[in-house]
Amino acid sequence: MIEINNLHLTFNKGEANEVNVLRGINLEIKAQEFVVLVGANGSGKSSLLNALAGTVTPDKGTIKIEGKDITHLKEYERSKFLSRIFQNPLQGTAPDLSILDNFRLASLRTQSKHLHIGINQNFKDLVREKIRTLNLGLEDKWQQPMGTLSGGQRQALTLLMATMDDCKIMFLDEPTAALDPKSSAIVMEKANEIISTNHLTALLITHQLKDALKYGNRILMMEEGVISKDIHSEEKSFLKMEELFGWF
Amino acid sequence: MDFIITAVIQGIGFSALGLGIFLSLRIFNIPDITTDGSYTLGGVITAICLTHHVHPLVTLLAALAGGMIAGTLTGLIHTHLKVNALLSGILVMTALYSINLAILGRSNLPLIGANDYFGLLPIANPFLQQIISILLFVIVLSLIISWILRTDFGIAMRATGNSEVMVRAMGVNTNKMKIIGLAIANGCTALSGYLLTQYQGFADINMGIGIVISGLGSVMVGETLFKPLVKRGIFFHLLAIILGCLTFRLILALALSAGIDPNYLRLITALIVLLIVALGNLKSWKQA
Repeated sequence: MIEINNLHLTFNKGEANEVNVLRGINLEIKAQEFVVLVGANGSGKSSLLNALAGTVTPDKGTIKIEGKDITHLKEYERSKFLSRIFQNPLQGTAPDLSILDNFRLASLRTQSKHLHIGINQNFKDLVREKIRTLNLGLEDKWQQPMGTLSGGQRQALTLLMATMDDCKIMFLDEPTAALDPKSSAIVMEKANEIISTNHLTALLITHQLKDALKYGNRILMMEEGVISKDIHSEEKSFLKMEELFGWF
Repeated sequence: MDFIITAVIQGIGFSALGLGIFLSLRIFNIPDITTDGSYTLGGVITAICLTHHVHPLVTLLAALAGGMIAGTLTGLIHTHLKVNALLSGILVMTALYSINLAILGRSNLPLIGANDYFGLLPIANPFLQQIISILLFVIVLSLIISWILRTDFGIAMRATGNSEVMVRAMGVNTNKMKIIGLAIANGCTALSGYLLTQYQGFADINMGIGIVISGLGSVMVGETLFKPLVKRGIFFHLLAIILGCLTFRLILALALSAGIDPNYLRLITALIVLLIVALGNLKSWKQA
């Protein structure tokens, strides 16, 4: 599904404060794999995700999704292949737009946005039904601006929005870092549910080792710009907290 | 009474500009200084076309196109040459001064004897003719804009100024959006130039100086005074801005009729805008 070949990324190239954030990443992620990426701050986790999403351009190497080379595609062109959940709930939604408008935009993630009024009764019913599945009591608030909701509610809706359009790959960059423990638990449960019921290929960055153990079927550890550990499904289920803690 | 009628007609005429400022300011978070130049450009194109007996509706399209080109240029400079949005606007506005002078050929051109937009409406009473045709114009314009903003394209446009990261993740080319948005905004502004030039009967090279501030002021007055409208959806939000433009002109007209020296008009304009912005900031400071 995702093939990363010899990926290099350097910040401030040629200057005194040059940093090699990615130093030759090779990685293959198969369809429907749920990969958890852990590592200390500055190990290159987010940079890897950003390189995949197109926010930063790598110096060297290639990225392929479903066999297609996307290394040189722009960020907005990659939305056809992947949906993203951001660390900051504010970044995944437009606060002044209504929940409905946010969902409309999400439903067109892989398509062009035409001069056509797409919000009709069918669409409203569809969104209300979708929101009802969250069981957060938000289904009657679809006219409210997104900004009036809490971070946890917004993050849960962002997950749902990802499924409004054809979605095969989901990137989650510390989706619960800004949330309280209870909201975190709800959001992680919803994420897991959405990933498994939609058979998504997922990549999750987290600092919560408990989540890293509980979710996903493969775990990767990054250190100084390279992948230092890679543990697959069977072995991952035998992984203990103490062992994972010892990696750091 | 005359000065109130004039203020009302001017206010409605300026609402196209208010809608343009609303687009650039509220939707893209850019106070677009190009406005000063594109308003004059609209007026200059109108005067040249009408004095050469071009049909008023063709003239309308020419003025609209002129404004849209100006906005596109600001957008391109901002997004592709990575120049700060304010500076991009100032650059285009400055350049437009020379362009406008070149088009007009002199600093002032009266429209004596030319057919105009108001003349298209067969009403004998000139006052009724002006106010009805100018009202029709602005109603049609705000219907078009509110329709655009409610389409899928419009949702992407509104989201661009609101959460750029999210919009890019949703597959929107935010640079393209900004350029198109600024083009539409300045097109609207040029339409105000089109209307006002015909209303006052001449185009003047200096007619646009400081117009962006009255536009900003009108949008802010409208949104502050008519808050309940703003919350009722896009069309009513646009209506609040039109009412804001009207109120703003009336305030200025009242100030003038109270005997204030016209030379101080811009000072008053700046003070009104400052007052509204400061009040807004102080309120949010209190809450925080």
